[in-house]
Amino acid sequence: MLASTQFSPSTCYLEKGELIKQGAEAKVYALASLFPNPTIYDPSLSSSSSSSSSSSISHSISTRTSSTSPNDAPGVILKYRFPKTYRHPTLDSALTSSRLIFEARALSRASRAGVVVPKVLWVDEKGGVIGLERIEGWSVREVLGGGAEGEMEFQDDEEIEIEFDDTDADADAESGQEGADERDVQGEGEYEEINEGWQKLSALGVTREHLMNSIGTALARLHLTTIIHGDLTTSNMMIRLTPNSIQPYEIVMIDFGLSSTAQFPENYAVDLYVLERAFASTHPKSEKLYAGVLEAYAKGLGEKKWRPIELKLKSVRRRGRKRDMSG
Amino acid sequence: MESYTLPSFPSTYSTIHIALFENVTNSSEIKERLVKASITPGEQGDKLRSELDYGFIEASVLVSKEHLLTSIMTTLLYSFPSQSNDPASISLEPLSMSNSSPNHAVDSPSNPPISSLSSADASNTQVKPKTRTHNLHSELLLSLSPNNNITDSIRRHGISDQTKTLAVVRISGSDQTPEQVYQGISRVVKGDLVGWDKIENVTDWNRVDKIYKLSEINSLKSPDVRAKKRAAVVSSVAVKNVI
Repeated sequence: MLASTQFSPSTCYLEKGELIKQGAEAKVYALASLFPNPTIYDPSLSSSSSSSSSSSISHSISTRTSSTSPNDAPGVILKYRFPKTYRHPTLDSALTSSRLIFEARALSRASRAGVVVPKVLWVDEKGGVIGLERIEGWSVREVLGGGAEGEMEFQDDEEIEIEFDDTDADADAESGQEGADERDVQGEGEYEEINEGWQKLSALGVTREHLMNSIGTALARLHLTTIIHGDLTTSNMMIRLTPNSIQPYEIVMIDFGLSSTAQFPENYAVDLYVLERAFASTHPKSEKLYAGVLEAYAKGLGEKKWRPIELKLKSVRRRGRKRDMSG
Repeated sequence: MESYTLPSFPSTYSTIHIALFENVTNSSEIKERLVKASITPGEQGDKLRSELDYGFIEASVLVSKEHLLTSIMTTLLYSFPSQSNDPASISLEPLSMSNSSPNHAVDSPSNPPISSLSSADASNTQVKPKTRTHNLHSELLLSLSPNNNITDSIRRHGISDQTKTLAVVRISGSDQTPEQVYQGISRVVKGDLVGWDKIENVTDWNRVDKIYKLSEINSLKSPDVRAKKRAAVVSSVAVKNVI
């Protein structure tokens, strides 16, 4: 099965996966699961319940595993940092694996600190492939009606936008009911657009202000771990519904490919500034919205930590994201 | 018992069987047999070892089935790594630029993440797993552990005299049917085979917190602490090879 001259455990997943995003740095694939459906053997029934066992890998990977446990992930995202031919191969593989390792570690560390991020499921650092839990939901950008995907966006080289195909599926399922509600926009003002995510959220009583508050809180929690995201945009924040929790939804940060560890208030301030610009460039009337984010962020971080960052943020706003090179 | 055939790994190691037992009564006996098998030399030892060629895992420090499956993936990824497309790392001579001659640079635009290397190298690594411990099953214990101390990993994640819930794993080729594998396991383990959905009832969260250092999540006082911990543990195991 394996070609004799090359071997990477990730290859077969990439072949099976569906390419959902191609960037300059990485290709992103979606896959139902890393595991094929299991054969379940129960001695009390004395015959196995499924017969597709050992013979071949086959293509019987159905979309949804007949789940035997609620932990079966809804899907997997594979991010493949392909070899860059414009770099020397030695340099290329060193960069690829170190970036991937950084991303994996940041996610794991954030997760252990209680920040909601995708689970890491697969780390093939030599092959350049990282497998992450797929987050079901909508990006903040979609929900706020930030324009169609593919529009110009503030530095979008490396971002991943994950969830744009499953909205269709969900919409189909609900179309009967949603269709009737379509006109009912609940007076959310002139920048309201019809989108499925927002409809669901507002049905749950979630307001924009509430959403901004959650974003600020999530961001504060991330920064408290000293991880900075490096590429905060509204597309890199997902909204996942949490039916079994007190809060109706949670904010999930995705794409830690540019993350690093902060040393100075400066680093946090730049992270906030990047997000501010992302809001400004994609959402009209964003100042008020973003103020809500900052307010919750300050509260989450605490007065003592917020002060120096607030000061820095002001100077970053004046001069832009890049630091002067004097030191 | 569940059986999976993983598409990514050499066929002799790509069939995995996982079984969960409750009310295990002979864990100290299994442990003694394991110790005896590992110190018996020669053919007799081989026989003892083949009877016990399974991973025996303390299930009370597993948080979910996904936890175990992820650790199996991590183990196999460590043992059968991608061939790096970096010529220097293969030849183990860091500065031998002769290896990365212009020819290489022309070869490498190929689509797969790996470029050419001698077929002898490749076939060797495919057949024999790279391990830090004696075999893949003990390697599994190490992959579950957040550090690289082998003794620690056996003590925490391996079978002990107190083990009541036991996860049994077999990583092998497809030469045995699930029924045969189960019969082999049932000759060793005395307990009740249960479905994997039971795993979440047996987790000893105090120990899990300690092993995976999850106390920070407790202090959040959020309602879905368990879900967050499960996610954190899975991620920890997945990044084990690169910490």
